Amino acid sequence: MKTTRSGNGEIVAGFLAPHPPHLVYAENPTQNEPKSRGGWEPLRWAYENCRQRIKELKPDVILVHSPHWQTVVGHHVTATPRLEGRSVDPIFPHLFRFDYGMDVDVELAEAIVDECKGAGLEAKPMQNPKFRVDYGTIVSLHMLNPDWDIPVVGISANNSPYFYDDKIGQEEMSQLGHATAKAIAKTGRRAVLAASNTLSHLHFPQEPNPGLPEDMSCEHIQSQAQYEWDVKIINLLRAGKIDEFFEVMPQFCREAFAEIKAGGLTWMLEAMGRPRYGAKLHGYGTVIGTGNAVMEWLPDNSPKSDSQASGGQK
Amino acid sequence: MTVVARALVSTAPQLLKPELNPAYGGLVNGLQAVEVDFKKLGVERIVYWSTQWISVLGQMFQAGSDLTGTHVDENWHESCELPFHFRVDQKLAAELCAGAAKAGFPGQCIDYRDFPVDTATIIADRFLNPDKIPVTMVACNVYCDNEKTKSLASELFKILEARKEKIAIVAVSLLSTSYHTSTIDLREDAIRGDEENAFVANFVRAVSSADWITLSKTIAHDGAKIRTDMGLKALSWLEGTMPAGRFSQPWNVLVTGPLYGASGIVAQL
Repeated sequence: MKTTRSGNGEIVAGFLAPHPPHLVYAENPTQNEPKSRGGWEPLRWAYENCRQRIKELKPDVILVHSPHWQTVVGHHVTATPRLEGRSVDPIFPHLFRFDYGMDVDVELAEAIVDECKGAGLEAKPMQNPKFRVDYGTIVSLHMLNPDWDIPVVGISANNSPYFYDDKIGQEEMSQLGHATAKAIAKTGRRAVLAASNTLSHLHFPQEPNPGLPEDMSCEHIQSQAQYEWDVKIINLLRAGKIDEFFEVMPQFCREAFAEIKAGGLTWMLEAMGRPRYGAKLHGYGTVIGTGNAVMEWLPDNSPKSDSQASGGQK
Repeated sequence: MTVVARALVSTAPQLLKPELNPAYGGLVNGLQAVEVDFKKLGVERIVYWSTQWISVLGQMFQAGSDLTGTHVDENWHESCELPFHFRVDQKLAAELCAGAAKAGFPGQCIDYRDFPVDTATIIADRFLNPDKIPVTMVACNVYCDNEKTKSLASELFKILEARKEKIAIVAVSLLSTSYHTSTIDLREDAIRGDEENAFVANFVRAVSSADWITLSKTIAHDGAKIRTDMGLKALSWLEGTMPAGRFSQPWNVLVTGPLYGASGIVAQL
């Protein structure tokens, strides 16, 4: 584990990293008990590009904000050196029963808690090694780094976006993002951020083919309206139109039941200083009707990203 | 009749420290009174339905052959580590699952090691079921509205009534979910908000006097404002399990009280 280093830390990349457990199920890693015939390849290929990028960046840590660790009082941060066990998804247990093991960057985690408190936010370190890590955290981390050889920090999704109105809830996530960025800078880490969120989130009420969950002939967006919303959001992010994105976000969340309401994307974009360069879209695909985009923000390469926003690809 | 008892209960990790707040002690006493009643009635099975176990792809029924473990609460991980062991009646779960499917609510039986049973159900079982009588659990389906939830409950009630055992149906749900959003001294915990307090009082008055019209109006008028737990779907669930498919007799509300600002209740129907 890292020892303390002061100053000059930086966020080297940010990813929109959706977490349908179907993606891990389709990958057939040894850690996941259920086995599949594959499926959802376009999204999984998109993640392959991210893995390559992360290897090149050589980060010290990956931080993930997951809506499936929902907390009522403040922001909780994993802060125990090692977390391991079996995580069974309570919603999709037939697809996700994953034996995880992850090293946690405790120094950074504690620094985030301190920065949050300094900013007037409620925050708490999660120091119980028996804690079951949620599937949102695990899926995003596994898809970004299946080698699990980079320390992590998990951040809970405080319930404020659902408890209060959009403005208060997202403001809370914005402050969390700023606190996270400060902690990264102070501890000298090279950090990758992951917003573990789906875009449009209405999905099928029943499994289309229970005998073969990976039956791709059944896979499609839940509604045309959802698709059009997803495309609009993706295009805004690809074009770096960050203000416009935040302007339409509440309406998107209402009309497409978007999971980004939970705050992960706001947290990440605010931590990255509201990037006005275009994000790279690695792939878009549906999972039981939900819309999922795998996207990348690369601060060091913003000019290239800008050209990409006008249609080019890296 | 094989369904011999019905209860609406609210639980949370705070109830593990009843000495901290008289209101917690009151809720615990209420739960213990329900447990005593279950014993008197000779309850042989408990069917739990909890707002904290949600399903989205059809209906889920707990059929765990080895439902044992230690659950650490997602919020109060520093103080709430719950060893649990459930004896699950797998046949009952399978019957309910099959019956639900036949009635248009397809789903699955869950039998997976280390399945994360929710905090509220574990704590409810700890108080209501010290002798570890067999249970099963039914998930709260997000895509079933109140009407559908009631309809599902009615179908499952027919199956339960055809069983030989004496069965208790327990809905685990809060009333309001207006939690305190900052750290509080648990000794000072109280139901948060004037509207929430008024709602709880009106709710108790209505169910205690079998005034179902007022209950319905109270929920329709004030429900959204006070952040009811899953739209108080627990009531639809319980109503569906009544012989006539609707509430008729007054409830015996044993206690209401705060659970970190949210409002809890223990009531027998």
